[in-house]
Amino acid sequence: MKHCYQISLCLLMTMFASITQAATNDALERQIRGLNDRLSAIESRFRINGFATFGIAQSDEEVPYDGIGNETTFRDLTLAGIQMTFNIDDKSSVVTQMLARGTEDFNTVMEWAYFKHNITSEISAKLGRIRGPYYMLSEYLDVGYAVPWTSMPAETYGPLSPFSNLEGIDLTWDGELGGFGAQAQLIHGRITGETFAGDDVYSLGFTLSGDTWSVRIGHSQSTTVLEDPDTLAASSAYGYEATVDGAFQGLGFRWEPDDLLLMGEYTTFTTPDSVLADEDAVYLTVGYRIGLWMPHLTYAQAESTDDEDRELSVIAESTGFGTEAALLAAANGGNTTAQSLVGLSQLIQASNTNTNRIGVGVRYDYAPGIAMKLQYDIVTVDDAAGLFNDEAYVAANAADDAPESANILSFTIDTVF
Amino acid sequence: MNINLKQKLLALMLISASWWGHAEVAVVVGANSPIGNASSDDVVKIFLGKKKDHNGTAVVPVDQAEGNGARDEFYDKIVSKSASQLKSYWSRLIFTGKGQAPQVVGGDTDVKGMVASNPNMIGYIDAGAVDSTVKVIFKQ
Repeated sequence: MKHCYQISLCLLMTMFASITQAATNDALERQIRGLNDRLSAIESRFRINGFATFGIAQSDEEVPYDGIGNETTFRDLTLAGIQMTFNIDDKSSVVTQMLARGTEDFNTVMEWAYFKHNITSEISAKLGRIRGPYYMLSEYLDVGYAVPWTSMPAETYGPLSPFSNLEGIDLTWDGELGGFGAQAQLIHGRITGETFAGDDVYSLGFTLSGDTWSVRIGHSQSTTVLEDPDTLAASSAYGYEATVDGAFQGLGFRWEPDDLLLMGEYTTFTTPDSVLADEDAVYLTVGYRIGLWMPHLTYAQAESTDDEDRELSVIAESTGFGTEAALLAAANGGNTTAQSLVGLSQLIQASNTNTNRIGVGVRYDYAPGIAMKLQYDIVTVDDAAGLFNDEAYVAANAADDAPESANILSFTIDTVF
Repeated sequence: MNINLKQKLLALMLISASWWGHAEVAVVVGANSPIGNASSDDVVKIFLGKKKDHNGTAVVPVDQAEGNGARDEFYDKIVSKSASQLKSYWSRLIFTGKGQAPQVVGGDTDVKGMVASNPNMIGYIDAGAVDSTVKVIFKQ
């Protein structure tokens, strides 16, 4: 009896369904269209984009180079970020980017938080926490998927990494010049770092681009007030001011005809009359795409150009010991002031740089949005710590065991979503 | 036996027809849209976010979802970018705050629905799916 009831109900429903099918189809289609419109309205107002890199790296050298030592690290190359874009109207939007880096214990940082307004179709302004556009690839420093390497060329991108983000304004002109895409960007702001304050940061960049190439030239400057106690102590011992006027210039290009990729950047950083190292750096990468694979080769080099400013003789003279020999003699004779000055000088001299790196790598595009990369780097340094960990290098040097080279193997999975 | 052969032939014809169908993609706007004919270069620029208006009319591109034949065909033949290259291209713009990839709306029917109800939208569909609700502004 119960069965009968169920069957007849089913029959009834089937009949009803077939009678009203035409009408239901129409209604459904309308409903779907309505839903689509609503979804599209939401999507055009609010977008979430994410990126993440998961990496493993190891060096054959105990003294870490750019953070990577002879113990396998799963965190140094690992990071995850989320970017949210809210379009308030056709012309105004709010962009926030949150990022957690392994090198910073995965503490989430608001990397970007700015209001953007398109003043005209070619001119836009940003106000808030923005990325300092010092380098060609500054704006996607953390988006591993967008670059061929397992990590950014540290020789070039290292020196200004504490300055990555600033609070300020950005004026950008995006237009055309002689048939090419052209972009001019001017930023002004300040940086409140943990160990320094960057006041009066200015950065001006100009990019010209065609279908397969782009060239960028940039100039940045800032007045930096040192706040780190060690750096301050060193600064005053050397007789330098605690306020440093820094200037930075960069020239970069990217050329990507068909399957070839050629890109490089030359940068120069100067801080006259300071303990901070002036540095010239360059990298050049060539890659060739074969289907989903892209093998590539990189040459990178960095050299400090003001090592004489950090010599022991400078500190000996400014502290009244007279000559380097006199200072060393006093230190050997048990003068604790002289001893600590020698120690300070050694630590400061660890910012001398003379590094060469050859990197061989391959990128495999596993799927759109997922890339896997393997890279082998051969680093050689010439009697300078450079990107080796300063304190570990000084300690190794004292034991007459300063590293002269490092071979680093790294693997990453880079995603965007 | 004979019928079986016929069926096989028919199936073969259908398969090849669908292959030929895939080989053509039409770039479309709503039937009443003010957007006029476009060149291949215009279309590429619009879908790569380099061109935001066409002859004075604002244009908003819409994409088909990944896995649709028309999408593969469109990016492969007209834009000349592989799926991975396209993803890299957009990640360089998205994460610099410079642009957003076109909105993804599904397949041919969804694109037709979207462009038909929005005069500024421009999409691409399988040439065989063109009907009176849309206007073709470029055909490969």
